[in-house]
Amino acid sequence: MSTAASSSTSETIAEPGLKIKVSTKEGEVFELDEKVAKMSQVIRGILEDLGEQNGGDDSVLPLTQVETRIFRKILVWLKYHAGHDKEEAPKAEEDEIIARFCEEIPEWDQKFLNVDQAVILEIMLAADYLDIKKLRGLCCKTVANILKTKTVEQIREMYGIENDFTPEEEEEIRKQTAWCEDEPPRQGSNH
Amino acid sequence: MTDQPTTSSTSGHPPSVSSPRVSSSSASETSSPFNIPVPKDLDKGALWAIFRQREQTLLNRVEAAEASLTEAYGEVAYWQNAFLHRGCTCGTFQTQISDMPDEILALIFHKLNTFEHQNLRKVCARWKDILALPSFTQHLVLSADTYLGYATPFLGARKMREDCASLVGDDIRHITFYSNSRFDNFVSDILGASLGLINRCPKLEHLTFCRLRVIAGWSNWLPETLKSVTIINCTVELALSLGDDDDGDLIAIPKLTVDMTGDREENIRRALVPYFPHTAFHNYV
Repeated sequence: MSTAASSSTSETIAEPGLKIKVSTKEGEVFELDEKVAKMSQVIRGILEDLGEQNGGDDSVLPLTQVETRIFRKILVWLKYHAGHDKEEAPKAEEDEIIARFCEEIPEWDQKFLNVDQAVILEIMLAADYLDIKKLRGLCCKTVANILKTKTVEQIREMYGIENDFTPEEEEEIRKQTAWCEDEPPRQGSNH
Repeated sequence: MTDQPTTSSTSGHPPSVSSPRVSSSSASETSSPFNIPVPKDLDKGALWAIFRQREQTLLNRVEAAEASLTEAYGEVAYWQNAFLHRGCTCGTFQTQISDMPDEILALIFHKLNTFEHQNLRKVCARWKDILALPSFTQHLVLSADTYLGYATPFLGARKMREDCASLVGDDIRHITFYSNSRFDNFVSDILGASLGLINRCPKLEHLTFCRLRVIAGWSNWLPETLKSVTIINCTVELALSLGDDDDGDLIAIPKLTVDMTGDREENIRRALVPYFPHTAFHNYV
């Protein structure tokens, strides 16, 4: 890794080529482009606070919750999308509806998330911790798409969840949802 | 570099003068993109041709670079995935969905509609509790696609009313109808089908239609409490015309929110007029 331009902080702070240093749970240090780093709202917030105090170049932001191998994965997503996406405007509530129910996951992101569910969940947690809403949303959507094609039994089996309802409770729920009882789970082709 | 300006120069300009400069500029290309030597005695048309050619070459290079970048990123993701699958020496991940905090589970469930929630409520007590949060119980989300498989739109609509009978009630503040299907045979009747449901939600405040075909002219039937109606990526039809034989236009509207407080008919008219410039509005709304 190259040493960051250490001439004078006051000059370099607003430069587009500014590098941000972060460290993972294991203490490994990564150097990120400012644009990439700021896709995390958490890092953006810290940088803005530091900017006012003219924070030094050598400071390393500790991301204590993120494992290195997950961070490496997220870094690829960030770098890819930093180059391809337009500056993301804050979304209106109505647009959320489209994002929640109608938007398909883009092909590249589908390939990116073609991993075990455990890894998807890890990425989701890290994205939540770093506050990268779009990545978190993609992970949620991916898991949701799996959930909606499974029956209750399949879900319990898949995640090792115990049926902790009492027989009375179960009967009550069964009554409430009786109308959709015999419906087979719909397949992914009909979103 | 085959696109040096001098190659297309037809004038008697001595190439020996320009070529060293060209080669030096191509060596340090990024530093001085504006230093391409251009013969001074060319006419405007020839200059344009040179610039256009140069520009196209560079754009092609950008495009090729972007394509290979996407490919490279895809390959990195692929190998990372393979690595994470195997776990290598660091061990595989054992994270389960049960390890997720409630907020994250809620975010996942938020990507599903109210029908899909019914199944999840039966999984375990914790999931049921999460799905009892106001953001789920107050917002009814229905996909019109669920009812596409019926022989007639009428049957689909009836099934929808039956299914939702236990879901509508005092709690509901917001109803969203959406569709991901292009076949809008049923969905064109979505509002007619849903009126029976809407009127059983006495505290309804917002109504959202997303990617559907909706019919304007329904304001009189909607509950008093309704504050706004939002349509997103819908086609709007001015049907139900009052004694008019005209079928009405079908206009695509990307996004529109109509205030439902105050004079509804006037609000609707004002919101829709810009989209239907050639329609005599008094006939419709």
